[in-house]
Amino acid sequence: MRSLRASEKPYFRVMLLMKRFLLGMAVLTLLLGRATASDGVDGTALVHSWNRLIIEVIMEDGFGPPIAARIHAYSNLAGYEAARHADPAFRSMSGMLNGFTGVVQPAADSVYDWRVAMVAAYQTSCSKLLYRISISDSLANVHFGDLAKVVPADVFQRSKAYGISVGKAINVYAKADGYNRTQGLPDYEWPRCDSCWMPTPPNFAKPLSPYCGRVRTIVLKSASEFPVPPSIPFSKDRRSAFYAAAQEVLDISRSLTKEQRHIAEFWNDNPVVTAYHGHFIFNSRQISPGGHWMNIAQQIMSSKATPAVGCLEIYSKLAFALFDGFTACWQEKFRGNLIRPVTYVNQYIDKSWEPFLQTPPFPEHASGHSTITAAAAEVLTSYFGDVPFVDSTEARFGFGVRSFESFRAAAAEASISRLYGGIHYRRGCDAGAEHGASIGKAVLDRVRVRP
Amino acid sequence: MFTFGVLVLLMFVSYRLPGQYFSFVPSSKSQLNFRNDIIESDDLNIIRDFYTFNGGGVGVGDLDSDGLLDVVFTSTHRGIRMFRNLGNMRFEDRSVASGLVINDTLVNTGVLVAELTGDGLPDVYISRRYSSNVLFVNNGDGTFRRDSTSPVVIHAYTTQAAQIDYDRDGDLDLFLVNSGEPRRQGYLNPGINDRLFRNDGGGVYVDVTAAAGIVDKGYGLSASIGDVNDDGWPDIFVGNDFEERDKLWINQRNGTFVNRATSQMPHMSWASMGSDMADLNEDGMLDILSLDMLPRSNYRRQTQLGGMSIFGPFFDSLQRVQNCYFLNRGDGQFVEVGQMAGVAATDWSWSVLAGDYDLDGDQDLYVTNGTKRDMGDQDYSYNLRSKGVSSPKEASMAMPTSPQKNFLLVNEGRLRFRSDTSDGLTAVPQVSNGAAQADLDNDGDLDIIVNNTDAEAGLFENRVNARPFSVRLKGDLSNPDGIGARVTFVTSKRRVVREVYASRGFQSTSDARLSIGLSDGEDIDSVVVLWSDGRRSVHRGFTGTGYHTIDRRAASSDVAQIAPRPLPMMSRLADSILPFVHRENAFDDFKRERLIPFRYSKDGPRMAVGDVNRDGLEDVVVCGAKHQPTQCFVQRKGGTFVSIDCGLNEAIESEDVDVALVDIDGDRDLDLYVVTGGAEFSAGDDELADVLYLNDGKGQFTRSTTFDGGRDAGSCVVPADFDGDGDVDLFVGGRIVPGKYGQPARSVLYRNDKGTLRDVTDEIAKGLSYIGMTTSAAWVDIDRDRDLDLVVVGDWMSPTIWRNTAGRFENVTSSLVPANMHGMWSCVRAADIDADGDQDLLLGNIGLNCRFVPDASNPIRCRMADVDDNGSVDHILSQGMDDRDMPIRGRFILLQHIPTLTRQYITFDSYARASVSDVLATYDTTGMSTMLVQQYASGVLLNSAGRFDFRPLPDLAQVAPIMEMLPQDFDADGDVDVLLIGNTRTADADVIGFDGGMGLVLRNDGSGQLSPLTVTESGLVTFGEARDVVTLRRVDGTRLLVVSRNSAPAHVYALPAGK
Repeated sequence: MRSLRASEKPYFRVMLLMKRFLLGMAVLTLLLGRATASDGVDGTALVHSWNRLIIEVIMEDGFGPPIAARIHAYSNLAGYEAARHADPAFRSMSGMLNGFTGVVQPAADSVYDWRVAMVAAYQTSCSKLLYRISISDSLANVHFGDLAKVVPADVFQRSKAYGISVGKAINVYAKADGYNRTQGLPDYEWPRCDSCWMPTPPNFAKPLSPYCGRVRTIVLKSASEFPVPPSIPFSKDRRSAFYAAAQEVLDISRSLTKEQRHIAEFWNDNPVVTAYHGHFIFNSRQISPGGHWMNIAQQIMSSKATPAVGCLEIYSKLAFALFDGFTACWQEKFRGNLIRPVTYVNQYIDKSWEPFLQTPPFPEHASGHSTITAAAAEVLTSYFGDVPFVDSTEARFGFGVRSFESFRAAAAEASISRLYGGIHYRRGCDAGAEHGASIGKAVLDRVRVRP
Repeated sequence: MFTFGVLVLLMFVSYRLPGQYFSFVPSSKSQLNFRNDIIESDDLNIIRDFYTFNGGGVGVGDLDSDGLLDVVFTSTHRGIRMFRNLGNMRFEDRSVASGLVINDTLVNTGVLVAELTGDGLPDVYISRRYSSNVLFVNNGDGTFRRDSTSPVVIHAYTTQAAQIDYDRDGDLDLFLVNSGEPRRQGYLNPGINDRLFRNDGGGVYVDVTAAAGIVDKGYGLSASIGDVNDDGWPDIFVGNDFEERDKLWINQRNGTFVNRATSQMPHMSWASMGSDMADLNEDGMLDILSLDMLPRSNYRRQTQLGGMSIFGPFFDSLQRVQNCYFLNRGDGQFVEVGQMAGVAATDWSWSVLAGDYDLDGDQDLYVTNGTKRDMGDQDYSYNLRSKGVSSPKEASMAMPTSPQKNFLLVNEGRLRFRSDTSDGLTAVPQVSNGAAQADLDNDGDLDIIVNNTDAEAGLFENRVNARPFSVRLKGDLSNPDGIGARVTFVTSKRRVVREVYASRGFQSTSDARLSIGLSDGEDIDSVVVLWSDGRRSVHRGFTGTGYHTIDRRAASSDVAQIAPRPLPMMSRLADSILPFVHRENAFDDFKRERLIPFRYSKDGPRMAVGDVNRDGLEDVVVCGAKHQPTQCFVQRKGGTFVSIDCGLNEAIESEDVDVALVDIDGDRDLDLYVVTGGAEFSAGDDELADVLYLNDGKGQFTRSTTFDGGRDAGSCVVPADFDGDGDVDLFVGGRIVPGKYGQPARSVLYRNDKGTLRDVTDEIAKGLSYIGMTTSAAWVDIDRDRDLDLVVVGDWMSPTIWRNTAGRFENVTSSLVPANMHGMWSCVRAADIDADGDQDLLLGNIGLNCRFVPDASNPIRCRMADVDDNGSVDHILSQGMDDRDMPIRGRFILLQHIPTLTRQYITFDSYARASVSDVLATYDTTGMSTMLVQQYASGVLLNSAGRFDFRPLPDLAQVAPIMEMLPQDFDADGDVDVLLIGNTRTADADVIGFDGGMGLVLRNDGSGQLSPLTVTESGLVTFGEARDVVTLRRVDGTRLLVVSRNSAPAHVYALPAGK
């Protein structure tokens, strides 16, 4: 843990510098100072630095949670497929993922440097997944520059070309998932009814990624493979269970403890929060729910010194769980179109109530954070067991550090945080958690790259 | 292009060439060293109060009765300061000595310098945001005392106070325009109601807000006062920030006001700030200027708005992000001409003042501009993380300042203003807020004092060399400056109308005296004053220079009677005469095709006139939108119209856009051809099939089972016997292919073969079927060969002419119609306008009151291709700006449709600099097609021996899109006049609508010269989206004029008026 945090700060300084195109090699050495490889460039550190970069650029670019998860998934798949040869124990994911038939294999009689190939693969896939690709290009150039000093030129060129070909193959695979086409669809017309979701204050934004549920899942047979436990039947009746569920959100919101507030903020993970002050509109950025779990994974892998290919495997499978979790959850959200607590409470109970957190712009059932969190916890638990850990992801956003008994305990807290935040009913949190656990298990079950 | 050449020439001869009028007087000379430094703190910042940077005001008045105007400034949170005018543009700070001091740090807003206590001496009234307003009463010896007991000393988040003699009792009442506490984010929060205090004499005020009917809880930022409807009673315009609409309080002459903003104005500014009222076009009627914050340059527009619009949760189709220039057309009915006049975009604007700065006789405009924190900077707002800021407060503190040059908009006549960027007044970019115009050196011209944020106040001495004629009104003690008087200067050449109000612009008080510039050889004949209490005085025999005092004691003792007006050409009747209300179905084309410039789902309703039931009386058929049937309104004996079930009531699935009543089957009754259209379907849908209904002779229609109409969205049906066989044939225009904007829909010629309509388009008119996105057509014998030729117009196309030769049609456009005539043509009608015996073509276009107006060298283009291969066509709209073809739509909307472009344009700054070729550089553009327009003016194609010359219609006809024109001899003088109607609110989210018009009658002088009539002359006032106009004969022989409107009731007028 200590070494990781030590590397966090210089890293962010690097980020800023890169943006100004002033990156110097001295800073890089600082960044990769923990290198353990004999030639001075630690492949594991490269893996983590790419994942940190992706988290950062996603925040800068402002991608919504489902699309962010998609970026994590395909970029790490590219990294994994390019670098897995570094450890012969690892197989290609070909045949394990929907529609994925693998990538070109390296020449059997040639020597490769898998770090170079991996960096090239990350860079190539990021160039189609991210917007601010000048940042990913900068990181690649830094890595290439460093590796060029320790890798023979012919090996370097061969490895780089191979990595690019892997990246391109993953780009073709990614494009075929249909996400691109969803962007060409007409704006989503949300249904109108008493129980229906409608845009929520204060932004009244159009629904976020309404077609994401139509995108091909990576591991799940389909987005609807696992049923989502149903929501409480809608009712306006004051004696109904639904009214009681909304009343519970309101009651909890009115009596939030300091601890509950902290939990809600810690797991808020709303990538873009917009605040209006007259003509001044302030858009603040936070890490996405998926990015939060990618960062938790990084913290635990660093503390456990997981080797490079193992890290790539865990990042990939975690990202698949996140992506399929969001896809499945989004399909259910836009199938059910359930009204958010703020809308119901304002209409039927208290017209002036504002939830503690800003309601994100999509239907309520089920909680996306609960879903992906439960899926992520399953993946991490399978590798590391029920171990206590400390999560400092939110410290830089001003929400401190929290300790957990286990990944599942963290997931449970993340799930209930949505109730504290006033943006989900308890049923939506529980249903998401149950759904997500099934998804996490399916990913573990179906993607087995080691004997 | 010939006509444009003439226009340019006219512009140059009609105004004096500009010179440097204003010169800056530095504080080292003037000692006017006031600064409004806004120091942000935990208590004072944009997060705590979004009005933190509204800045201070300026008030002028002769506080020490020495004949020179002294100056009072308000500072945002450092009290006020008063400077005594020593003459020769020198001042001394007399704040402490005079007692004009506020010691706390609470926020001050406006300053009113005015007589408020009945002793004839100017007092000072300071408006405040977080505490009670402050009244300083003049002691008469150059010192002031605070009066905390006056009823007008209230806390109401007041922006500014203004005087008005609303009850015409001679003393001045007080109107407070109020804003409100900072709003809860994202929710509609009402502000504090504006207040009206009646002056009962001697400083006794009574709050009559409720009794007067003043209800306005908007965030009011300015009020302008004047008699807009020429009834002798003052009215009030209130500019409200944000969602709450502006108000136009029309004085009911009984102590009450009624808001007529939505019935007498076509639309309004969204974030209304300062305003002013003045007769800008010298027609004797008061116009209104209202400011917003639309940037002027393409770069600023792209980086400030980013293509974002107010199209959001609180969207109001009547509000626009632009300055509005409400042009009074009579009776207080306004058209809005801001874009055409060149005054719509002055960036982050605060104060607007109308004054004849160059003393050339007409009034120019001075607009202040800038903001301490550039809240509109989209890169800043959306990329805050890159700058290492995480909290809104931090963000606000780190936000860049946006100093901007102020605007001097010089009146060039013909409703055009030219931005003079060379004058000393506009030289330095600063953050400028309140401003006052005043003749500080008593030389007869207007000097300017402007209150700047974080900088010294600006003092600008006017050094124009001209012939001013200046007057000072002298009233009694309760109104020493004659506030509220209407002054008419009658010169040897013209009449100039001004009204005397001092609280003007933004948070400021200007000079109450009047000067007009006289041209060479122009002399003052008389000055007629209508004092605020309604009494009149006439003054003659002015000699000498300097200010002429006009004394109220010369006024008659009687209240002057306003002469009754003659009857207008037509008069509005109750809607119940023809009770049709068009109900458009909700459909948003932009959800399907985000980048198209217009919606096509709101095309109706058009009408057809004919005797449907064969009772000898003319009836009307009106189109219904989807979910509404097309209806037959049958004329009853009393001359009213009743909707009967004529067999169409079940047909409610289609959007009916045009109808024709014609005898198709030769049985001597009127059958009905219905064109279906709209964008809410897909090509090939049955709802898009046109329908032929056959009449049973008694007014019952039955759908023809043999006729099978086309499946494209249509535009119009125009009947005529084009083959001369005695029956009626049809042209049916194609409008759009839904979901495939830019593709021409199919237009059809139907030949009537003994009652059967046969599509003969491709047989006899090669090339006609996919001529374009048509809107309208006319059958007219253009070459006087006694057969009917066809003229077809539409969007993105030139008017096309098809010559009929023995029943076959040939496109002869290129040899008859001038080049560069691609427009957004919306209608074509034939008439002999110049009375030379042949048919001319009246052409309705989108008009010139638009943000982007194309011409031959800077056309507007629409490129079309699915460049990012995601299954949707991308429409790239562009116009040439400084020799580069620049995208018109903003980054937000373009990147929403082509998300991968984000990679190229991370910032609004980079996008704002990009040309279309830059934008498309990395994309595959094979198969890209392009449409273009060069002409937005409506006009007449004058027929001269079969060839046509284009002459634009008068400016007032260019205020809005013309949807239909009616060439008729309305004034019965033997020539063809033109009545036109229009407006549309189908534009994209940036523009929302082109709807500044109200309809217009152009009177023909017999030679083809068309002159616009005022509202008082014509009686025609139809706001909203007028789509069609017809006349029909009533049973009593009089005529009715019916104007159909989209999503609104039809308007009915009696011709002539009074019948």
